[in-house]
Amino acid sequence: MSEQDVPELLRVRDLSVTFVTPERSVRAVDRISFDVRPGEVVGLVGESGCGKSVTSLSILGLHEQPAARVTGSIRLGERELLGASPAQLREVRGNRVSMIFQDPLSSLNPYLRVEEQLSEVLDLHLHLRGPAARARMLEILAQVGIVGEERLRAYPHQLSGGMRQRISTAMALLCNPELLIADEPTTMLDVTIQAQILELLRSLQRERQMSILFITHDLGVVSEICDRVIVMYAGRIVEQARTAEVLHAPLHPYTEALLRSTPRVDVPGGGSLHPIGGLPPRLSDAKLDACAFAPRCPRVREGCTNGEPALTNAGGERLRRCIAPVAEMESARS
Amino acid sequence: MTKSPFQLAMQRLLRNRVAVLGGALLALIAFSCVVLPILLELDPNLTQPALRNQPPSARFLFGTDGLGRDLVARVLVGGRTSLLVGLAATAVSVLVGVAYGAVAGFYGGKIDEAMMRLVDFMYGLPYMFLVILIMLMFSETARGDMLPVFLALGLVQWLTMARIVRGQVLALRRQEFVLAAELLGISDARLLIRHVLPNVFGVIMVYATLMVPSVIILESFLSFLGLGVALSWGQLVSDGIAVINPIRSYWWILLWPSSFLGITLISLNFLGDGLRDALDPKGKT
Amino acid sequence: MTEHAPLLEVRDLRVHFASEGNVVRAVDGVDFDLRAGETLALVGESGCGKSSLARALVGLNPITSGAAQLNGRTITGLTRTAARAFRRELQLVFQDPYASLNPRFTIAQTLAEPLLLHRKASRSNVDSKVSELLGQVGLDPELRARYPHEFSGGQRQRISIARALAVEPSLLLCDEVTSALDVSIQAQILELLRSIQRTRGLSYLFITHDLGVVRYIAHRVAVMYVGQIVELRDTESLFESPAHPYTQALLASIPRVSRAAQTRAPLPGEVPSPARPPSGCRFHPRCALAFDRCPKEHPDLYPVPNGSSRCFLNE
Repeated sequence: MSEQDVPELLRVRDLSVTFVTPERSVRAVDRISFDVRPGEVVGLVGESGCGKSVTSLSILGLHEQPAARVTGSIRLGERELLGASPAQLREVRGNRVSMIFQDPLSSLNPYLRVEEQLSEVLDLHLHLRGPAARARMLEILAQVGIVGEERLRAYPHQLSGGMRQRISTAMALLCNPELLIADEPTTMLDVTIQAQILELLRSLQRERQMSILFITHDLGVVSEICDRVIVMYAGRIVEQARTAEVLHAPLHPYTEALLRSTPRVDVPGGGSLHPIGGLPPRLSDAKLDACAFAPRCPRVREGCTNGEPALTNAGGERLRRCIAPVAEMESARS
Repeated sequence: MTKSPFQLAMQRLLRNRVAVLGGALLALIAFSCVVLPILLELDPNLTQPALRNQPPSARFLFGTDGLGRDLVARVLVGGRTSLLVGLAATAVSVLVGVAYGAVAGFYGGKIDEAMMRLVDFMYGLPYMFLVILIMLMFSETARGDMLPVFLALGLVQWLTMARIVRGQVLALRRQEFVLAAELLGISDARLLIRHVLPNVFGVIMVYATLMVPSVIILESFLSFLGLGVALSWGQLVSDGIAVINPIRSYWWILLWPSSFLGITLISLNFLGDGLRDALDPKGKT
Repeated sequence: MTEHAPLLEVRDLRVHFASEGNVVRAVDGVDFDLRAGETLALVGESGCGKSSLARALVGLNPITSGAAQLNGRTITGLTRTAARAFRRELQLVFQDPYASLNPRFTIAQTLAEPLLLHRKASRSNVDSKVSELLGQVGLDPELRARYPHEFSGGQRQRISIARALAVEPSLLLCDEVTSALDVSIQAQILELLRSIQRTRGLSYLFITHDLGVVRYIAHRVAVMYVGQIVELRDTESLFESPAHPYTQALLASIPRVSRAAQTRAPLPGEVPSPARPPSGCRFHPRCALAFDRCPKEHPDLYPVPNGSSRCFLNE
């Protein structure tokens, strides 16, 4: 059975998110479409302002209305999440789809002990209380590498960043979600602790065959944990493929430039650094009639400003949004 | 054209309709109180016993009081006092409070501790009692002199301003741009005056605007108790309440001064809230 | 490199402070030299003391003991007025581009202030000097009448660098100056710093947690752990053959873009707090190579090729 036959778990179509303020309108995400299949880890990659976090918040309806206008379709299995009632969303959140965030301190309630935060979720979704709930709590904490009852009684500020992220992860996994959305979960952690959390996520994902939508700006992390990668720029998807393909044979000049501007830890002298000139684009509601990356693109040519390039298939499931020929990019590598 | 943070804040303020309304009402009231009595040659003290306790009419828009005095004149002229006291006493408390709080917050450590201890101590004193004492002392020496009023009321409010400014300065002192300036060799005085205080200015303006109503109420209260030095809204309200009885209600004697007082206070609050939103849209104050 | 006396000499520097009844040993006995025109990276995880060290060197934190000398003159333990005499030679660029510039000053005002104060320009030519500075950091001089809120993070960092360069320092401390920036912008700033170093012969003390950046920009590296330097080496030697077990673990933990599957086990345990450092060698609780001596005795820095390492295995 090829990959295409497995039905998607998450199906996003033409998702757009526009933030409206008295001063101006900002189109943070512009008609993006992608799938996440069961048991797969998909990386959503890009720099700040590319729309990756905004996308992840849209899935669980976490944007503040009415400032954010979200259109399109987000289907989880058979259920449409966009426009779902608050009651329906509550049923999905923490249950079928969970989320862990970048700052473990602000995602845990500072006034509640660990056991109180966990019991809330257990009560709401699994209707567990008392000793049964406690048993499940200890079980889940052991799975995230926290052993010992005394941790249950702790407050978030008494724990280290790594611990808090483990607890956030435990909370997210309590109900065995089908999809975990991880928004930069290791960015604020020390390098050695980051390695622990990544290893934890990898092993939990394998055991439970859970899907993960992993949002990050760190291409090294992507290489370690993601099966497929979606690269975003200025609110659009510019490239999508299997991890090895994107990182070692990129087909979009932005991905290529991003890789070349990252200092390399395993290359003498850090490798030669090629910064991307210019600044990321200012997002506004005015739709660009050109490729958003053109002003900074080393491969820019005539035609790049004649309307926005379409997302085209480049073989298998590879997608790219660029008019530069594939052959040109492949030969640059050899 | 590039806009300074201050200009951007003013733009935001002007978009806030409630704040603009408050500002407009305030301006209208202030204008009326200051200019109209001169233009219309109104006399608040002219007693006309034959015309006492008249309800509002074409001749006396607000009616007359127990001594036949024109209430329009009394309310407008009384407004001058209330507004002036509000502004002047606030100005005193701002000057004293900012200077005190800025020094405490800037130097921190033991200086800050000592200075704030004094503030804490003074907070514990029974304020109204002291203010009343001061007013009683001065009322013997200089009847009609406003200065003691400003001082007495300003002395109450500066503590709050000092605390607020000290907190803001303390936080800003550790901000990187201030540290960077310090590392460039910039003197303490210049750091405080050119770098720190301009960034506290917004907060000061907000709290000053919200302080004016408190002072006006305080003054009204003093007048109500009979300790006022000049005709003010507080005194007029006091007069109005004195004649309330179930048989013959002279409602207009109470209505106009209390309305003017109320509208002024609400307008100041709208303006103050609007300033806060305009100067700090992320809600840090 | 000719044999000059080092630009910066740090000897047994300690920064301790009290917090909640504990003594936090943020910097606990640090020694190193920095030569003119050289970049020394200070690298480590939270609580290692790199930021406290930088702030102590510029006088923002008080020193508990030890000393630092710049061009032979002591710069630590001075009163604030005495410290002002060195403000020209040693500058610090901060991490947060959004807090480093006075929001009420135009860029021109921000840059003119140090130029005028230190007489690098007079009122008549300060405008052209400001334009020159902006050009040196890759910004259009026409932007000088603008306010910080109109600039991006990367541009603000350029402005902060320009401000530091205005007083013509010999040493620039860069405290995580690219950590808050996107990768592509980080690359721009790193390149800028390298070219400025070439033209002006500046030295950098470069504080970061990102080892990729270290390999790109530093000549030598000091790896810090819980307030101490555990390895001090030439950059390439450190990356090719790390001597200290912590350095080895740190390098192994970094996620890399690589085709090879990652199979190594992550370093266990938590990063210790400088308020409660482990006994003996501070790394021993997490060290796979620890033996009986490690919890009991505290290792010195022992020489290794092109540097030194604080591990009994290198003795």
